[in-house]
Amino acid sequence: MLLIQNLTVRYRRKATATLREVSISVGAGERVAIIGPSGSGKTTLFRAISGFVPTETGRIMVAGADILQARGGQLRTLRRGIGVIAQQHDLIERMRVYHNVMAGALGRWSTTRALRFLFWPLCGELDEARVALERVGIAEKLRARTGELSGGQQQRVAIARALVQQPVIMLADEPVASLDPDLSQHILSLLCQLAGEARIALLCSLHQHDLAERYFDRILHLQGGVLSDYAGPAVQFATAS
Amino acid sequence: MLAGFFPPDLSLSYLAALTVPLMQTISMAAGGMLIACLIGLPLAMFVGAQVRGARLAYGLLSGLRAIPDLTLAILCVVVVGIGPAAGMLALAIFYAAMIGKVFADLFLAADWRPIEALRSVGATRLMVAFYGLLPMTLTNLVSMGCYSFECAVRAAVIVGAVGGGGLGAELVGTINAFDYGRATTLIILLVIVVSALDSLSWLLRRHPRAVLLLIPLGLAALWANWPETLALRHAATTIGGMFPPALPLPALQALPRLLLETAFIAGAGTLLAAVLAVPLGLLAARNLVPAPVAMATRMLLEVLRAVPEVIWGLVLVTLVGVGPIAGVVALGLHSVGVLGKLYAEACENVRRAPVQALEATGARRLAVACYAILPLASAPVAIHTLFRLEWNLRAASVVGMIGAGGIGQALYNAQQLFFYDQMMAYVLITWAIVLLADALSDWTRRRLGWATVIA
Amino acid sequence: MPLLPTAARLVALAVLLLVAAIAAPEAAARDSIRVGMIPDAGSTQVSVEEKAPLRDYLAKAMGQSVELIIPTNYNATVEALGNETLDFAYLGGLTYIKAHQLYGVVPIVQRDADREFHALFIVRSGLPIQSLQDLKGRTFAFGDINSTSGHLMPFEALRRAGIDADKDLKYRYTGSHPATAKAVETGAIDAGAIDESVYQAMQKDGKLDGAKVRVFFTTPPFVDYVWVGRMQVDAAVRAKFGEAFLALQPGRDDRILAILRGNKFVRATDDEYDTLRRVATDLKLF
Repeated sequence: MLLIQNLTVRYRRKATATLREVSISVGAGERVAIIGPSGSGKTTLFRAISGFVPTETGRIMVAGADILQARGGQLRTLRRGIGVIAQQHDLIERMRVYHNVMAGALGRWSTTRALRFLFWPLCGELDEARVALERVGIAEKLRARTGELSGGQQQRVAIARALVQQPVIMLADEPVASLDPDLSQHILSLLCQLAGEARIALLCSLHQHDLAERYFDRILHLQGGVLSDYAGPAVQFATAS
Repeated sequence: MLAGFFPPDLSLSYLAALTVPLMQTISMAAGGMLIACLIGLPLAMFVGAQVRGARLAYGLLSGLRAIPDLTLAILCVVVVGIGPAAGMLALAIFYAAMIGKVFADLFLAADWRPIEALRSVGATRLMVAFYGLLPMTLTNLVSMGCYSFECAVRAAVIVGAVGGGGLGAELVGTINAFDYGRATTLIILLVIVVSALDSLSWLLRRHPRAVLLLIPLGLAALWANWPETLALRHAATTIGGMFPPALPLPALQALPRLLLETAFIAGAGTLLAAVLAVPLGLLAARNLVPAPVAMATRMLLEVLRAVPEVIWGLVLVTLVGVGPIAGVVALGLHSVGVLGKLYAEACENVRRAPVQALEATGARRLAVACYAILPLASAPVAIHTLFRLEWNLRAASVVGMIGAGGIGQALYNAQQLFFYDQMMAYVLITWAIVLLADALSDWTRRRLGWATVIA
Repeated sequence: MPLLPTAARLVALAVLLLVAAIAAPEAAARDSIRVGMIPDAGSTQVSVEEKAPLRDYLAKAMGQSVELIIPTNYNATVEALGNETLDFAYLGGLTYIKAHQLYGVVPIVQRDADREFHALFIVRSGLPIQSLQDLKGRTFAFGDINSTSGHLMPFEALRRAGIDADKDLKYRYTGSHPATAKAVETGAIDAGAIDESVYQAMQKDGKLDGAKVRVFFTTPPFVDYVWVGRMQVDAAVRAKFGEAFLALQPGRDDRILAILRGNKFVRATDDEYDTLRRVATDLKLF
């Protein structure tokens, strides 16, 4: 589903590369964790996969197309297939929960529909949001103001948004970094369960080894921009799906 | 002479006669702002979305904003004719640029993470604007919008003075007729209107949705003030007559003196304001002085701020006579109001910890002010002052038009005498100077590592 | 794929709306006649109301509703004729020759006194100023920069007397004749130039203290104020407008004549203004 080959990223002012010759392959329904200290390049890797970072070399194949070569409408189509869950801070706090959840559908909606939904959500659309929220366990928050939710609840809203997007790839960048241990376990198991059910390729960055070992099929180690296998129950590099 | 301004004429018949010009001024501002928002907001979104051409649009907005509103008003009177329509059009152009630039700055400063999240969903730029940029910045948009509206009402008075009608025309008329009592009435009225707008903006900040209620008001104003005829052919020939801009030799020789005079008015006015604003700002800071004192000082500052430079200028020209001194004092009085308020806020917003540490030592209030609050507040105070200087350069050319001298007066005389090619030359020179000052103060701020503070 | 990108569609919509908005009101015809007056006593609501009898008289004579409008300055009055905001206007000599040159406005009537008009030099009583030469170094007030009797002709008189206003006087423009009178009366300014009919009317109405101001020089006669019509206004309507003024009679129409500061109206023609044009060109005001 996701295939990264020899990806190198270098920010303009820095001498050393942020990512060096990184290669990853994640199949459909496969759950892969990346662990590494902060500053190791995890966030850059994730942003590169979404096509937000200028890259030096390499290819990022999403469902068979290179996202680095895509522009305009084609880029948007590819992005639609990638669900992103960040640490936090990427929800619009002023808006209601259903707006944030259904924002996941913007990629397939027409502009007029998107504008209409802002002021006039239809029952069917609200139901879609409610179903997604039920799967993450906070259906009752449908009409709440997002900013009033707790950190854990906001993270669930972000997952619900990614679900509405119906992605083939899910990128989760430190999804539990700011949550307490109990909640972290809950969110991660939810994420992995949902990915398994929908046969989504899940790539998730963490910094807790124990959590990675418990929930993921495979663990990679990123340090100083170089990706290596994780010593442990790691599987050898799989071939492309 | 000053005694002539008292008592104000508060007779019922006069107050009743003022309803028409008052409505004209408010509707000019409301209609102008509606057009400005309709043009400015999409432009700002365009810039905020950082698509191709955004830089060019941003430059265009900055450039347009640098033309003084009074100059625009004069151009609009020439094109549209006398009456509120001209004023409204001038305000619409000026504030479209103003709103476009200020909102674009807000959008550019918005948190990029939610924006990127939306884009990673595959949303188009327009969707990103509606689902991300707008809701994220709504509170700031409303409060900047309210501030702009307040400015627009003051500007509506100013453009009224050159042919837009309303309170501005009334004020110029009463002063020309030496009817000072009535001039005082008008100034009081203006102060009341501006402070009413202040409370309105406070309300809107708490209930941003109520902004929608202003749209019918704006539409009604547009309907009332829409120019009956846009004499397009007349406009085209008149504007054609402004090109190529030209100055005869004597005017060219006088130019350096005029520019110096304008620079002097701006510099001395800002200096006067800054010197007066430091004590007044301290007296208005609620964390420094007892509440009643702060309240009283704030009221004084409010009154000074509510009256635009040009109106102070009109009054001062009658009091101290024509010349740069009237301009300096006019800029000074209005700027004291603005700077005093900003200085007070800067003092109130300093970090509490160092102040409390000093208070814990048992230091007196004045010592706390001098050793903790003032040093902490010095950076914002310097930024605000620099901004004011930049603003006053524009304002100096405007007060020049009502008799304070400098390039503004030359511009006004050329316009009055129908020498439109000369007028355009002065407009372009003024514009270039203001742009230069903009760039200079931008550069200074970046040199000193100060963050941009909006208005 | 849609035919146009969303942005282009929005722009097209905006342009359409704008065109509709501009076109719609232009189709609607205006049914009242708009008459502009010079801002010689301040352009305020009150001063418009003071002139209500004139408005009513004209409305009756024309058989149409009339709006009186007082722009804030002379230039605005002329431009309003140019962009068709005004149909008729009362102009000074200098503004007339400009409006005629720019927009071809047609002279209709004027007071008989306008054919032999004078500007007065006034000074505060008690100041030792007896002739134009004594003005050297003094503060001096002109009226509006576009005024014939408040700027152009006094400037010419000074020049003939060997006074260069730019070098020898500290002068300013007050914007109107009453303002000049008041500035001299209150002592804000030493001396000034003023329209003779305004000066006399102000004294008669008690708006000026005759003991505080005195006249020390009167200019040679020149042609000044005139009522004009826009060229595009129907000739019959213009004629009717003129008749209304010519029909004014002392005794019967005193209130209106007082507002107009005149006794008798006569037809005006363009060639009366040739001398004025020469002077204005000489002084680089035209």
